[in-house]
Amino acid sequence: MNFGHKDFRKVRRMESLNAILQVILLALVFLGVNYLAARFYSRVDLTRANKHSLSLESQAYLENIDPQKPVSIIVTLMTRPEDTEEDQRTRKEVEKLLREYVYHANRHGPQRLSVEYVDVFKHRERARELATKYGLQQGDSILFACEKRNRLIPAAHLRALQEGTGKLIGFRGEALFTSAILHVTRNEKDKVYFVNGHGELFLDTADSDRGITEVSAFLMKRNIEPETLNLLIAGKIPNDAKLVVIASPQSAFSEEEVILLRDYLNRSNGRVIVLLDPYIKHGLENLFWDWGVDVQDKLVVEPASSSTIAQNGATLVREFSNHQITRSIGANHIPVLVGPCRPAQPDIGAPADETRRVTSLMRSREGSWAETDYRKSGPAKPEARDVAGPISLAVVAERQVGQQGIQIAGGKLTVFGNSSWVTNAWFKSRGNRELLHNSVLWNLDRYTLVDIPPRPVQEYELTIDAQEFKELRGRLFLLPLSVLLLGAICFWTRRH
Amino acid sequence: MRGFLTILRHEIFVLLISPATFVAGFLFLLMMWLVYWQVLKAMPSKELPVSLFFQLFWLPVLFMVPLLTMRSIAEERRMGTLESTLTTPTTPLAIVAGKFAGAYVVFLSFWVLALGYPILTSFQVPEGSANFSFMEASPLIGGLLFVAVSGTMYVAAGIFASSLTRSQLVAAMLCFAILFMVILGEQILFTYSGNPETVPGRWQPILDYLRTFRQLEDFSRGIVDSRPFVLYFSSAFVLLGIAVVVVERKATR
Repeated sequence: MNFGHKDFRKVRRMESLNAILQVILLALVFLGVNYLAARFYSRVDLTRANKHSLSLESQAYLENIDPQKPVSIIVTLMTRPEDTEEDQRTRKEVEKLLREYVYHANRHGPQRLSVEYVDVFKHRERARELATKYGLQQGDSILFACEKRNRLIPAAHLRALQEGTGKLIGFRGEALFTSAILHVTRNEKDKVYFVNGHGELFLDTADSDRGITEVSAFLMKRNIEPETLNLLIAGKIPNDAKLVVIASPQSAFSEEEVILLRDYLNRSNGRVIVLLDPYIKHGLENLFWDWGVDVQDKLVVEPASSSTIAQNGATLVREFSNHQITRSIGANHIPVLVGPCRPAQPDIGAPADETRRVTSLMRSREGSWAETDYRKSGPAKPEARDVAGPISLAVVAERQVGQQGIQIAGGKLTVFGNSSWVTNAWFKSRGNRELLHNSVLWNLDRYTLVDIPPRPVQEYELTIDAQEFKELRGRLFLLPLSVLLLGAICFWTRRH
Repeated sequence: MRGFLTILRHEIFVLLISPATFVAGFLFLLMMWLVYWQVLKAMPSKELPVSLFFQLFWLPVLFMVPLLTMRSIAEERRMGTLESTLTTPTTPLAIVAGKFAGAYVVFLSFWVLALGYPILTSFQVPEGSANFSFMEASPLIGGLLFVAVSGTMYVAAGIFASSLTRSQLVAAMLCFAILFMVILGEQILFTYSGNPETVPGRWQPILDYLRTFRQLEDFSRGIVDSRPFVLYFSSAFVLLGIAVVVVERKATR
């Protein structure tokens, strides 16, 4: 048999084809194997106390998400040149934590949870979509959405700061994320009743000074249903009331109404927010006395404000306590714009009650005072009858109920010495929105749906002096040096 | 796979008597010494020194792997010994696998030696000077596991580069370029274009799957994920597979 050039060429072509097919086959195997690996994977935490894993409670909730109603998480935390170390740390912690959430939610097959990172400055179209769909208007936050329910967590809420120093000591991401997932996957809406019948602010009027339609829309976007309630006509507080708001009554409450409110707070562990303005007789004194809250008939006078935004009787409040409602506002130095205020403070003369805890939320500046004769005309001056500042402008009172050492949250009463900050005219201010958001969520127990402690942010320290450090450096250098020496011996041995 | 063990023994022996291996080992340990020293100097920190130590693993890998693998096949082809070897009852697969295993063993040995830094430090630092342990098991095991797993792909890339050319220099440069793209390419790309997480659409999960530094972040904290195992082992398999095809083709020419 004779072979010509053509035959050899044919064999070569076949060999080339064979090689190409082998490479293609290898590539296909690579893609197939990795596709499966990306879908079905597992993670093992080697640390002793599983410190990077989610708590069993969170894992259980994630496994119970209905695959037909998956949860979407949209993260708008961005990298910017001006980011502080804390910002970077927060973003990193969020990324790490969400990896665990995705793993635990999706490891049993169907996609129950997805995470999307959006740069609102670069992906304008997507940012617009999110603003329309979820009302997402701010960056630096994490949005949890499931069907029509959603929940926004600003980045500032994730940090646990040390009181006094403001130093980052922990990361409370897991408690907030799990609580948000629980909230968006729940079917029912929380109902908030706004009391009327005393000339309160109008829930459905767009008036800038007495309307609170902005608040109404704000709550509805957060799956909270606001409704009006006339206590005298209804004769009771509905069973589905998760929170009752009394916003700027212009006349006093009757005895019957006060009894209804007291029963709601004490027997039903109800939640009430009261916004009171100076000058007005409200008739709630006895209720406040029971709850250790003191709302005096005085007017808080601030030293003149230089801010243009705080003209016309408005004041920028910048002093906040470390309470869950005001912590993030204080930590981020966001001012709250308020109108004329009356003092709302813990009542030091109230009867002792171990189950009750009263905390001031925010206060006026140094140099301010509570004016007693504020009805007099003429410029106000601090006098002996007045109380020297700083003056508490808002207060929360909460009770713990339970027996045999088991304590659960009871009623909560929140009192603000001003109501203007929720009106349509002033509610656009970021601090005001944040204050209302936190107050409502805290009263609805949305922060404490799950009891997961913050993850501590540890700082690793080494304390040795310069001489010890120098010695250590020298001893560590022996390692590369010994390899070089070994090489030289090896080389010399081979040569000889 | 006939001849695999013979080639492996030979490769390890050649690597152990080669001055280039000791130079690579010295440079590697010198660099890790600098890294470890800087880590200790920068304390207090929010991460364990051993975690930070592993997070800079790419720095020595970029030059150590090309040095270890550049001569493996390229030198044989230049000397003409590859064809001779293939006349013995040895398959191209055994040659490639043997050379890979030899380089990989040396690569791992270097890393095991580098663990000497935290070990030495834990003995040298007076008791009570640190509020943590230098020998924290989980990041140490996790970090070393990542280096071992990802090392399969990096060494395979070196063998693959060496199979493509007769020149050691070209092989080393090619290997460096591949490693640079694989390890740092994505990171550099996103440093200039923004947050890596915000790549829209379907690319996000794919890039997420390939991100070396994300995998390393998990491993060096003590979280072992199964995905990098599959990714690096399969990549090594593909690269070595192509190297076998290349050796077969070149040997018959």
